[in-house]
Amino acid sequence: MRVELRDISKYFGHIQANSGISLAIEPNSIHGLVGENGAGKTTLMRILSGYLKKDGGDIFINDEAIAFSSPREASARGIGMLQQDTMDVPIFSALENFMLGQARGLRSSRAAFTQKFRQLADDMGFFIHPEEPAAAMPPGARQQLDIIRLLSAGTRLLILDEPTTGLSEKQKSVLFKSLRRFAAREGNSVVLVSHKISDIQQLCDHMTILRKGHISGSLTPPFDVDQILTLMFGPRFTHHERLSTETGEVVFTSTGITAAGGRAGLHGCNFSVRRGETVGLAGMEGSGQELFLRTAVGLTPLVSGKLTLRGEDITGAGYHALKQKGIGYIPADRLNEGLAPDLTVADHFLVAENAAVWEMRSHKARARADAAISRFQIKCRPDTPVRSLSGGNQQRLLLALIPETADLLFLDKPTRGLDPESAALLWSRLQAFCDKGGAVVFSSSDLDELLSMSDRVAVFYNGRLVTDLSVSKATIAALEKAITGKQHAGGGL
Amino acid sequence: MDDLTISILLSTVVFTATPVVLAVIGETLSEKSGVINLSLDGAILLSAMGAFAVAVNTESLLAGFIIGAIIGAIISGIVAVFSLYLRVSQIAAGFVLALMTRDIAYFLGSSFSGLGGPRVPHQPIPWLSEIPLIGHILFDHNMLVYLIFLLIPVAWWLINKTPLGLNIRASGERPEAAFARGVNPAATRLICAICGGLLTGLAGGAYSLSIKAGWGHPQGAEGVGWIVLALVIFGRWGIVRATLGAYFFAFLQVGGIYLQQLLPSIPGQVFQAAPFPLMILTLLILNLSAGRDHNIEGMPAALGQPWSG
Amino acid sequence: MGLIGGTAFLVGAILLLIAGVSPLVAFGYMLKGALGSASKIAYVVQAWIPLAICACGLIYSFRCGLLNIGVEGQMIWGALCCTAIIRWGSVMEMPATLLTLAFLAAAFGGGLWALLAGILKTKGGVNEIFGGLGLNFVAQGTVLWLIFGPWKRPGIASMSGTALFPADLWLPTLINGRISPVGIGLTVALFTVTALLLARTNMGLYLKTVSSNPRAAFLMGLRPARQILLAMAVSGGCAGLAGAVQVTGVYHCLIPSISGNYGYLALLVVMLANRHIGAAALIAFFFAALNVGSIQLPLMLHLDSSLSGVLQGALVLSALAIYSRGQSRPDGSA
Repeated sequence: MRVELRDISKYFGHIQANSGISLAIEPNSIHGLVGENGAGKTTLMRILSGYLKKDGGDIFINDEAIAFSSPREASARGIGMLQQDTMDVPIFSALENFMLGQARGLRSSRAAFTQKFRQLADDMGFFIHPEEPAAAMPPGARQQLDIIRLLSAGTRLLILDEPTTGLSEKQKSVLFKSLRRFAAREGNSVVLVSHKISDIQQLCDHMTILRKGHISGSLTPPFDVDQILTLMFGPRFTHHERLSTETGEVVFTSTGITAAGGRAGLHGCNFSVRRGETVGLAGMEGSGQELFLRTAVGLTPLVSGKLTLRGEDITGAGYHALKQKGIGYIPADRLNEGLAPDLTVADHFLVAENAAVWEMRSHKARARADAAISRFQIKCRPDTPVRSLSGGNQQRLLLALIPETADLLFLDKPTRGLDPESAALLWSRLQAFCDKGGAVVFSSSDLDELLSMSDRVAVFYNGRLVTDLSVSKATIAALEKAITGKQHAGGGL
Repeated sequence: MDDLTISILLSTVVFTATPVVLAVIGETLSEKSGVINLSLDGAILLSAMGAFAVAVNTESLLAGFIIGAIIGAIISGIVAVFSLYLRVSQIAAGFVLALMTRDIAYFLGSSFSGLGGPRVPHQPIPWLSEIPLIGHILFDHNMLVYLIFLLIPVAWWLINKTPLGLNIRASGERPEAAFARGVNPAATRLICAICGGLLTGLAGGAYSLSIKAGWGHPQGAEGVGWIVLALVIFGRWGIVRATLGAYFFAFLQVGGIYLQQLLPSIPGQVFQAAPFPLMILTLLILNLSAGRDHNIEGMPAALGQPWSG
Repeated sequence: MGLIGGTAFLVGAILLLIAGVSPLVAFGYMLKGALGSASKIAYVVQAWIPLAICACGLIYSFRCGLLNIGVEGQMIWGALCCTAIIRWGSVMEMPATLLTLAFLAAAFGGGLWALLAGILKTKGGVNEIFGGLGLNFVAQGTVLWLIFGPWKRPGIASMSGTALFPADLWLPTLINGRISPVGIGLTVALFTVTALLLARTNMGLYLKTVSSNPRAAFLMGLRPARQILLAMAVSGGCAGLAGAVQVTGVYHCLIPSISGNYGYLALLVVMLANRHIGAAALIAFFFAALNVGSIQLPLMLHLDSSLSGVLQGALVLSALAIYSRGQSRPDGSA
């Protein structure tokens, strides 16, 4: 079947996630949809598969206009989406997950479904045991389970969102082989959403590139990597050089640290940062940089490895102890993890003083709040509830809350969602902080920012620190390749 | 104790457990779908009152049970609607309803207080009731007891073996996964809560029309709802385990009377409080063995959490 | 506010009509029964004291986002500890000291019982609702065991409770022995201290931070588990004091139903007050008046007095529905 999107638009509050997107998915094609984080790929596909309601535009199947308001309706039209997090019930067996939603009524048609399950799995070249609980299956197998579930529901257009994250090369080749086989059948088609260019190159015969909610290009093979990268990341700016600071002795090191969590975990990560240095952490979402930051500040326990701070072994120290020793941390999810939405701005300064619970509320905190509001240019009054601050002001507040004694900052995506003015202010503060001998480690998905604001950039891919190089030796192209797993960006330390 | 005493004891256990088992099955069904109905204690009383009042007025046991079931369904339906559509916490709404429905029962029931009314007749099953020992324990009761003998396997089969049960469990475990497969978790939850409420209502009727026939302030069924909530946890959300828990509880109650004769210094109330330390202990063991991520074994992962599809 | 009250009284009126009584007549009797004379008002105050003290304690746990359903058991445990001290020291002829000691023991006992629920939550992951509920029944069982066992009345154990305390260990009372100045003083003092603690010290702020976002509280340097335990302990301590007032000021002995449902009712008070402390004191008075006024229903109209509970429940239920449209959640949970 032929699926066409015309002029699709979608807003989340004031942010336009998709604007005027039109694209057609031809029968028997494998269509790649690429773009950097936040480009609107997942939103667009969630609209097509009934999880989100569009704000404008039309969807046509074989030139017939249709409207979905639930995944069920999309499924009835043959559209099924494999989400980034596999949509299974962990305690159910593979077979139960397969039957859920397909089997109806009271008659247990277990035998029939087992047969169907086996047949589809064999057909796709998957090895999944029907009686195994989903929770006990490796990520690749859970994904295969979701795929045969979608196929069994009569899916003709199979949408896969970042399906290769966390898969081994072998699992990936099994998946790609089966997708090719599926797309070759009468009327079927596949949409592969990915930011991994190598995946798209291997598999797709059409490619649409999204950038900031718009279509920035549409390509057919042979794909040119440089052209794709330009369309993904936009025109390159020549950035002003960051004022380089004298770097001093090593403040913080990590040796072979391994931790569990996130999509890829963290494996054997070696890293160090010197006084006055700003180090950027690059990588696609969930590649390990966030987990690295949380491990470094003592929020996530180490499985193995060693951490030092100014030469002192801090392995196993908790977050509060490290905070006392001068480590500051700002999480990426500002309102859900960093701030208490029901408290006012001044209240946050009070809490941050960590006075004893029985002590009278300090009036100095109020003065500190006033001072911070003007110094960090936070647009609020001291009694403004934090939930009503804009993202930029929340970030300014978080920065203002870091004790002045801190000399090492770990910032998780500090400029995500910030307006340019807020970001510029943040960077001028951080520059001043480094000039005084502080050190900053931050993650970002903006390559321009990484290159213009860091002394060094460390690239994470699939839970490993794959590249760590001085910014003078790095180019955007090299970083892009390292991030997308194409190759190492060169030198190393 | 001789055989006769044991047989009488166990027969009494089977008989008095009837309403508890009914309510435990209903609440397990509801919680499996993700709705925790904290209003049980009041709901059982109000449906007991309603069932009795209607049975007295119409002289029809059936009408009494039907009304009791409907009252139970309405109360649990209110909890579900508050949670699913008004986004009020299930716990808060259920707790308030537990107190409020109890008071409604006392208020509206006061004119039926102490009245004589119909009672589910004793109907031993021919042949089966004459089996030595077992016959008296299991088959020398009324229809309600036989009904739950039927209900236990049916509920177990429904939840664990049918596609419908799959939908129910998925709504309580991971509603978004059910939604992705075209199941409507909100509707599933509402229906399960209402069906659970029907059984709670029957449990109420079982009190006022059989076990503790009649109405009064207090009726005698007070506190049972809280015990049922504890038993569902004690049974780790399994129909069979929770039902066994209900019989165990009835044994503590009935056995307590016997034990009291042996150990007169310990009042029966101590035995009645026993399910609660057991519940806490069960929760504690489950939690501690679940480790850091606090995934309690058996507990529906999305229990009590809001869902709006 | 009007909508909430209107809904509740509509529910009450419907029930009265079902019972075949004019709502106006019934509500009239209730009003007169609650506030019609000094002695009636004295009754209301007598009911207000334990209810308000429990509600005052619950302000702390609600501020921390905890539904401390165990308040009933904490009150019982406070009454129990109070009785234990009085029984132990009744030979000592130092009534003032002994009563002070007994009140301290009650606060300690109630606080400890609440702490148990708190530790079950923070260390064992047992939800405070189930932990608290379970502990309520354990407390009830313990009291029954004491009354029918070790502490039984000379002669025969009965549901009427333990033997009466010596009269010099009764709290002094005014107006037909109903109003205890110590009780009123204690209630007012607890509310004042709570208002000051929550508004002037860091405590109220820290509890609110943990309730608003425990993860952020941790990142800002607080230990959420400690705040939860603190809130539970203070909450339980207050409930324990309420128990002590009932034992020493009202019943002069330990009775099986010493908590008189005031703990559960206090939960409704605080839900309706939406965590405002001043409102909680007023609503507690209103609820106490409803309870006392409804005593007229059996006397004058041969109806059950539980109509007050129905009205209270209906008020809170409609309030929950209305508050949930705003951002604040009366029960503090998400």
